[in-house]
Amino acid sequence: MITRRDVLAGAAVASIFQQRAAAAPIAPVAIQRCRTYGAGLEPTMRRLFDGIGGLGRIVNNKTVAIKVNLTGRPSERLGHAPAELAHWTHPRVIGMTIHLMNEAGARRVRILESPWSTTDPLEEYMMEANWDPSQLLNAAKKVEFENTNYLGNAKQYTRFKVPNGGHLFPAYDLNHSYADCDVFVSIAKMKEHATTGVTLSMKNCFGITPCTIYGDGAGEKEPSLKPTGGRGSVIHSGSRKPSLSAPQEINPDSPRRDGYRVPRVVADLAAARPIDLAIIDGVESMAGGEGPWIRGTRRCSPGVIIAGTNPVCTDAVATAVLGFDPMAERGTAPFERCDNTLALAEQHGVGSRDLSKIEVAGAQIADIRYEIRKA
Amino acid sequence: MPALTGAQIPKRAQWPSLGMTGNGRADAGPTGAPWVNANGWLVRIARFLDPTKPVVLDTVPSPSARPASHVLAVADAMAYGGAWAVQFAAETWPAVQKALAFFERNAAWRAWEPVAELTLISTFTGADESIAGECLNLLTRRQVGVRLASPGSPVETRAAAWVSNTPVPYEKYMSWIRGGGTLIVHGEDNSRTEGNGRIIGRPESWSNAYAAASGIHLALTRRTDVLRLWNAGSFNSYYQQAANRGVVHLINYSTNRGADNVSIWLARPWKQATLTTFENRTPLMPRASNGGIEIPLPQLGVYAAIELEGE
Repeated sequence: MITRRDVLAGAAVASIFQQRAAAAPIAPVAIQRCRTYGAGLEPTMRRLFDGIGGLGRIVNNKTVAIKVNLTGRPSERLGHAPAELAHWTHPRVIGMTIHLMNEAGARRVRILESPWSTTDPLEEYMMEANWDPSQLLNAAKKVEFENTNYLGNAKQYTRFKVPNGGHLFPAYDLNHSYADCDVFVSIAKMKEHATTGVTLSMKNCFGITPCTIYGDGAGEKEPSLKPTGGRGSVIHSGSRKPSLSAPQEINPDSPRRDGYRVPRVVADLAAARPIDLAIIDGVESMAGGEGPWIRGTRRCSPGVIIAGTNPVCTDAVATAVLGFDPMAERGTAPFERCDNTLALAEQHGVGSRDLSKIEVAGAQIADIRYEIRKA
Repeated sequence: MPALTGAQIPKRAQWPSLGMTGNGRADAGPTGAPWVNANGWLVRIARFLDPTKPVVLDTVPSPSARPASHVLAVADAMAYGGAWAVQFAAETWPAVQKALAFFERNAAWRAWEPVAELTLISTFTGADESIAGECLNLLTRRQVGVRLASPGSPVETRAAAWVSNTPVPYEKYMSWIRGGGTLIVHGEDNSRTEGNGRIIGRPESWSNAYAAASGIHLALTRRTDVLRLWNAGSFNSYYQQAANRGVVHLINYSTNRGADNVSIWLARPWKQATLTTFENRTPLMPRASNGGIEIPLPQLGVYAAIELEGE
């Protein structure tokens, strides 16, 4: 039964969310048309970063951590397409970003990802997909990789609190790499997503949660030593708790639906571990879902690359480029069966999703729109 | 077909299949790849231990075995140079006959060397039998090319793994290691450089064969892969070569439908590739990729061979 006290408390929370959303920061977003990963990529990415004020002010003399998107198993492809032409961030986009950051004075660049069910080094995972990691290692003077799906090279996990309290969890325990950096970058693939409607720079960071704590095989009391499986039971369905060593759910009676839970975790993470630079690879991609394991998916070529220093603004622009309204409510495309992650992150005060307030540099949304549902 | 008289008949042979759970789904290992009941490792070890005697698998199909699994039984034995004591069934006989004829036509393949960067060193008998067999089985599952050698015999690959519970006779391998070889040993934390080569101590114990095999692959690194497959979770491969020709056997342990969208990468940049099945031959279009060649494959059934030529 909902009491009068519940109604008043709910209204108070809604009011706080509205205030935070109204005051959410805004930053320009740059868009560039980009048809291939060939020779034209370098000048295109230079123009892209120039459009948001250049990389120097962001990375000069800094340690940069880059979360890339290598979702699923490296042995799985959409049709015959190499992963980077469908559901993975393309290595040329990663390599070019590292190269340009090096030019802009970055002291050290660390490539991070939580690969599926393994403690193997990230380089091994990339090679299984037929990548040559030496091309990334040689893109700057100091490049490192770390598998963040477990404890890795640290003695303990680092706790990241969600400012002002979280939507689902008050804090998250993550691999040290997400703390041991001055600048955090998300290089995402521009895709639809079966659970969250779209997956962009914020949803990419769902994968920063280590499966030793938030995975199907996580230890009950303490993190497991090795990650096993995905995050289905702990985060998607909430059918089990994360390891008890980590902060537990704020409201254990909250809905057990993935369309409620996953967008909230993504928004929490965007507030707890702020993204300083969001880059979205939409040159080649896939439609209908986030990976080959989703039925009915197909390759597509949006031919676009997007960047911004605010992940909500950047994802809002990318959502519009894909033919959707970033202000859409639950029940409306692309959020037919989930809450709008952009709205939840905006409620945390991470950034604004209001396109009327966001300055777009380079190509304009109307000129470059790619309706992915029609692809 | 070799006669059963005088043949080696491994007792551990199983009817080849995809491992299934109680609810009818494919059983999976720790990485999510489906478990397969395969006999290639058993055939290879038997042939290694006694090359003079034919190896015959006398497994019997379960009553629920699909007709295609009879053809799989032929491929699972004969691709590795063994044979299967055919269980006659009128329904499957025409297809089985085609498969038998195919492998007899290509009997020369039996003598071709495996393409590998790794040698497993073991007696493959007694106390070593179980761990060495499981290790070869699991490395095959990971599509790692492997040669076999007895303790003390020369190693002809870049790396070797000591697959035995007996102490490593380092002195027998020191010359090969110092010349650039890598020796992988388990249960020891003694990684070190020796001349131009290395000894890599892996922490895994043989009591966890999966971890031990994964540890070997990790020590070897995927940089030395000779072959990679995509969308081929139910497949094992066996890659052989002789001078300027090669063959990759692709054996699909899922018999309920064809496999779509399988791709293969080979480290050696072969010039020509042909897909051969029991029914026909199809020229393939390799494209240069990552120093080797990559080939998208048409829908595959239980078995196919990729025949390779030139460089």
